[in-house]
Amino acid sequence: MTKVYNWQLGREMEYPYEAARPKRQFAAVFNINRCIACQTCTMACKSTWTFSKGQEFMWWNNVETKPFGGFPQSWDSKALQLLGPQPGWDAGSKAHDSPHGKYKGETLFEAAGKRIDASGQQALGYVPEDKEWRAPNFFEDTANRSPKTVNGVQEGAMLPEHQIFFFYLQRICNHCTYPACLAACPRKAIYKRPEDGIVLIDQNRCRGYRKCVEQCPYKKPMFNGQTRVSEKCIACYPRLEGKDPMSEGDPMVTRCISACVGKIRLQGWVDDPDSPVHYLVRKEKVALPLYPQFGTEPNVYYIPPRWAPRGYLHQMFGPGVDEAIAKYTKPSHELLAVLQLFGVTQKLINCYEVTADTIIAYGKEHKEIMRVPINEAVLVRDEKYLNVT
Amino acid sequence: MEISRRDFLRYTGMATGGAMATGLKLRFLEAQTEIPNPLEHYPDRNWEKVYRDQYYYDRTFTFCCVPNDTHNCRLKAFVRNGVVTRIEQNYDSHLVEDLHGNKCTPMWNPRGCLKGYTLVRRVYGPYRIKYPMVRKGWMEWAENGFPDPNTPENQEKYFQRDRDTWVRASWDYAFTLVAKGLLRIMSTYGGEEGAKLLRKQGYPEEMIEAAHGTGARCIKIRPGMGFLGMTRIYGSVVRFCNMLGLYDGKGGARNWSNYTWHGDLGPGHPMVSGIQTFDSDLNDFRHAKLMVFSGKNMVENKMPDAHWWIEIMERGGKIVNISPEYSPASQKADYWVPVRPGSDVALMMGVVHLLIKNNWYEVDFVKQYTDLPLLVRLDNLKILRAADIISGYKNKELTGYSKKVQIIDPQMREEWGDFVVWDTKSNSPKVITREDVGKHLAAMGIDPALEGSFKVKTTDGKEIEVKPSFQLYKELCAEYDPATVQEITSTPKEMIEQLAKDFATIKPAMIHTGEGTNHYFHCDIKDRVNFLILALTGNFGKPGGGPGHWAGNYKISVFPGSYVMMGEDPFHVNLDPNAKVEDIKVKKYFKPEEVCYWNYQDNILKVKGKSFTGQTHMPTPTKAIWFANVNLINNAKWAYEMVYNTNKRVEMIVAQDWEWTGSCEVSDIVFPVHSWMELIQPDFTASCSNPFLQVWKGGIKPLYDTKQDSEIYAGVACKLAELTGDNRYRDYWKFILEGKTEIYIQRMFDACITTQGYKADELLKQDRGALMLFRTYPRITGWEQIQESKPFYNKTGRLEFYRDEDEFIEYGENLIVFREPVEATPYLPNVIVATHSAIRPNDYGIPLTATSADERSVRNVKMSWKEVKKTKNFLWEKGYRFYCLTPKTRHTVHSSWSNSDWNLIWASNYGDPYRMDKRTPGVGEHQIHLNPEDARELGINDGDYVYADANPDDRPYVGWKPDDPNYKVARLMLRVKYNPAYPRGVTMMKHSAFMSLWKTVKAHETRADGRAVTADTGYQSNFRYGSQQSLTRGWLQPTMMTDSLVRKNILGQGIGKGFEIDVHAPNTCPKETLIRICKAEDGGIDGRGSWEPARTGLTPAHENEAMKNYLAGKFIT
Repeated sequence: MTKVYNWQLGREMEYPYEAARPKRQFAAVFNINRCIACQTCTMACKSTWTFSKGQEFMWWNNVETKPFGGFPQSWDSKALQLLGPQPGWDAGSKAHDSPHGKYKGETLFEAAGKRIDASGQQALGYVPEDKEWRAPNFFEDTANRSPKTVNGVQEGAMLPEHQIFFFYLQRICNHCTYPACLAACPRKAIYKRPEDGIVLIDQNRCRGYRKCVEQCPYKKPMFNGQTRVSEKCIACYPRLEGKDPMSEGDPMVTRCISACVGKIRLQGWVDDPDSPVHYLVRKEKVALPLYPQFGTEPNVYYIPPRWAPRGYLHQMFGPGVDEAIAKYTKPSHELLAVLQLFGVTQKLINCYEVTADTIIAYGKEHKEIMRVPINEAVLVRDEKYLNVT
Repeated sequence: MEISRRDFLRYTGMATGGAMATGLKLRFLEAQTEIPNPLEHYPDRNWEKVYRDQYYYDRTFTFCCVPNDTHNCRLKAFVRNGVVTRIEQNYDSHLVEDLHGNKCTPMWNPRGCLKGYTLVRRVYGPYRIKYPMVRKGWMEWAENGFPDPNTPENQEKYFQRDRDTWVRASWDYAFTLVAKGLLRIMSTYGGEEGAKLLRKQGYPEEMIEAAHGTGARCIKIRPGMGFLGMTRIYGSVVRFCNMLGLYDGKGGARNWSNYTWHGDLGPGHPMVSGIQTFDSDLNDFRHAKLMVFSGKNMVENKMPDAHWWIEIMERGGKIVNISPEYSPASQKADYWVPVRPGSDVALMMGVVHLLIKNNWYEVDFVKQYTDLPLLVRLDNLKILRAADIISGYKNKELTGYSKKVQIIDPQMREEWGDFVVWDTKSNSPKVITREDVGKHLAAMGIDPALEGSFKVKTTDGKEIEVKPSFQLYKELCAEYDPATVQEITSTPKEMIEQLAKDFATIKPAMIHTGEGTNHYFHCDIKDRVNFLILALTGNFGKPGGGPGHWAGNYKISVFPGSYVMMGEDPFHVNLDPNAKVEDIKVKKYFKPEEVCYWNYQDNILKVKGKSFTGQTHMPTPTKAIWFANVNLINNAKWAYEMVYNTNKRVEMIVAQDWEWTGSCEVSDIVFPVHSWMELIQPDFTASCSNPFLQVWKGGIKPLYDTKQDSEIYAGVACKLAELTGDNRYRDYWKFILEGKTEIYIQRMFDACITTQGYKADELLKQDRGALMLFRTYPRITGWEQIQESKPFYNKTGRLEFYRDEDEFIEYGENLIVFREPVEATPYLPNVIVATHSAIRPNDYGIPLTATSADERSVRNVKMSWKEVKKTKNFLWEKGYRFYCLTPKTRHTVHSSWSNSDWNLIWASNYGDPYRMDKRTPGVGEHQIHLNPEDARELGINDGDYVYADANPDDRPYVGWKPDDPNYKVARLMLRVKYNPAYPRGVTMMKHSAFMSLWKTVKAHETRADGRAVTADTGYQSNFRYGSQQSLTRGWLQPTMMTDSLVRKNILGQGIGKGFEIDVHAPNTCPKETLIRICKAEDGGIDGRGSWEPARTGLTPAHENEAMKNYLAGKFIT
């Protein structure tokens, strides 16, 4: 184990390899508030990558209803149980490279070194049984508890927190900065691409030991019984490389992000100060990592649901939840403008410019991709036309 | 060494067989390359080509995905080696414009949803219909010369629809059979002989008379949401109906409705405004500041456009969701208002109460745009007319919009008369006309009273009391105070008060309803009260304000000139391809009919000799059914009643589809059609919810021996020409037969104000939509009425909240009142919960103890809430104590995609591609969501199989017996899912899944793998036994069958009264049911013990300590 710096934890942590950040890091922001769990993302992914024999159960992308839903079943509550209750973040130590303060607890890597039952593991984990990969949509739209009825009057729910709640969690591989799968692989068949930070399992080199399946806390590597090797989300790298003729050589966002009709997803470089993703994650801090306490520095960031109980959200997204919800529900002009960029184009947005009524998105070589008005206009045609026809 | 993914799969496949490929074997022996830090560097990345190769495609094309939803999304298909491998949205919205250069924004991007993405699984899937099929028994019946189908022997021999086998037929033979079947029906049931036969078969006299001796009138053809294919479906179906006028020169076939029968029409919209539905383009939602959903789940529905309203949470808007359960829409809401199922009208009347009591209403709007100032006579409850109080009064001449645009029939105008308000300035009655709205009223210099009681002298010298209807509402609403409403609805009264306050202070506001509240018997009243709230608060005709009603894509009215294809005179068909539209003669031989009557045992609502079905609505006996683009029988409420009883009297059932459905399974002839990606001739459509006009066709060669729907009608027409010797049948389809559908498209474009100027061929080429030409973008219904003071499409020209037609007065619904549901209530079914003296219902002598559906439907009695709460529903007493909500699932479009594997895995809480539990009917199955405490009391565990039963008098079908093998097929069995989001007593089962039928049950019980898939036709059921429709039945609502309601015609600006297809007609109401649930089998694999996840301690109602800590967020301390 060596020491690497994890900004989400605001401190150094243990990891089997020396830190080596890629030139640019693939990242995405998922706005949970807008998600309708339509699973268009899920089918976009399925129909591109996992339609073959051996992949029937695989959903590299899935959307699950929290708190009970999960693919594989109960993956997060199981991971949390393995890690055990942890102290949170020390808010007093906020700084540029520790925007949410310093994490006081243990990561999965740190815990693995100390637990006898984790001998051989780089990160605490478990291998789900086959049956846990069934029923990917069990507990869709299922609430945490029943509404109470007292003297014939039923309990409702009201902001700031719905005490009866559920929300949708959208999940792809997090393309972590410190991937647990990569740490776990005894064959070193998993690597991070230096040009974009995408984490891949080498389909030639992998021998199917399933250590990645065991130790990725997000359970996104999956074992293919037909090819007998593991596989996972590849962040649609052929699109990002500009290989799709549709984009005329420009980088394109992933299939799941392009497909999202809820307009909840935005792809960008989290470490490029011009990127709208960087703005949302590092400047405005409305988008937060999923279970940052696991220690992998995941690179999918979530705008937390404004209605869910905060304790549950802190457990899931760390200490930035309250600030993120406050900013999201009363957005600055720039934030409102950036929210308009979600789902307007299939091309990768590198940077943007905000005017009084418009946001302009730019792509590769500062080419203008799209102009988006911040408000919808009402147009009135000649009197000969009718609205009631 | 490099290997392709395909080779890789092959080699490893061989490896599992024991024969290791040499190449791979060697690779295992290769020396490990040194990889010091895979975060930093990886030596050999050539393998990455595998995924680039997998991603590769040869070409693309665009087409429209047009299931029964409202979006008609243009999608891009990616083709490799001639096969569409995947789909993605076209991302073209920002390029869409109109003829005047108006453009829309990229915020409409992307269209589409998961269904578009899994279309490849359907188009290339195992359930396609590959060639025409004929049921063996029916073919023999036809070949034997159509012997009397009504004898028991012939029923047994020829009409075992669910058990028979199928044979492949050539197109030519299938066309011949259908043409012969049609000729048989037209000849058998025409004239006096035909009427005699129908009488013998037991049809009511009114229905026989409605056929007017024309056999063609007994043929019913239904385009399922025909608007989604204006030429191939709507245009062709109605055209075919019209063509059959050639047979006797008197009348053609009847075309069945599209919208009402799905339970989709908001029947109260025309009752208030005269307009079919008062909906707007969905991008207008983002202008709202208060968004209230009443029984509308716009998270699971309207998926490409849900973002428009969800985004208001980022823009300072407030979202309120009213529903029995904590629903998908509730999560997005500022607050969720719980409500007892079916009591929404009481809740909204509570809001009206507070708005009026606290003077939280916009006085000017109410006076200028509503009928609330109009005086109502308390003696006969009619609206006071000028002629009532002024001797020799002559109605004023209407010179404005009524004459110039609405072209009102002079006789109707005389019937309506002029109206009277009480002018507070002069303290006297003043006459107003339907044109004195908005600024025109303001210019009159009068100030109509809203409150008070006045005396006027009628022309016959009597002094009578009159009141503005506002005053009546003020009095009536006193009965709906928050404390009472809380008792009725179980809604906390603080929330009712909050809602009223929000309506009073936040503008613009919208109320949207959907199936949640629409699938009740009194769904018209819920529309009327929602309109009332929005009228009191001035929320009409402006951006972000108004009511909306959302269901399927029905709005053919946006093509007002479509009669040029549908109704072209078959005796004078115009065969000039360049003909101008004004030279095309239109003559209506077709006649629209509501499907609900067939779905009511092919009957009308008649109690004690009185028909509650108005003359204008009167159906005819159904002797042939032909449907396209719809799973008609599967989706019929009370489906097993249709299969086992009603359809026995139907002699020919013809289905057109691209996949084999439950409806195909119980038809006689099945025609296969192209999928949307395979259309050879172009088609077009538009939407009720977006501004896009789409012209498209397919981009791959049809996989099977299929045809375009329109070609099938043309094919049968050619056979009719051959069999009758009358070539006009063939000529009528000339351009379809020549493959020149564009001619009909262009004719319709030229005939519609909304599309004039567009060129069909150009739109087809440009590969994206165009903007429909409405007055505004977004289309905001009522914009002209409010912004420009133009009258609505009804009698008074105003938003009407008082209904003075005899029917409404008799039924006690002249004023908006809360009525208990007709079945889904613990209390006396259908009772009016109000006592006001201006409500004078007629109970027709039906006792309170009567239990039949017919009697309950027409028993009008009023009671105070205090009395009502002491009453009981007889079904409740018998143990039927669960409400059953039946919403649409996001994973299918009603029944479409129900058999697609990927959709089914997600639509089911028990999806499993490997089917570890062999009881599962397919890779997924249907479930009912139940509150865990309720389930435990019934001894039911999460995942168990249960039976669910409704009123045994008539469900699953009339005349069932426990030992009847059909009963085993029809009795619903499905899995339970614990879901605490549902309060106690409320259950939920998604609607329209594929029903069990005789052969699926047989397969399930005899196949080694237990799959419920038929052996011969490959029909896949989503159930082991029964269907969602096992619990439902048909209903007919008297207020939706009047001959007197004034409303706009479906097409064009004209105004008529009584029945109008998809405007004024009964709406089916599947949520009117109470059910009983009992355990059938354990949920564990193959019935061994409970369902495994329920044993982990990690599921609802079984939480272990750790799970409780997780739910409470205690893993971060």
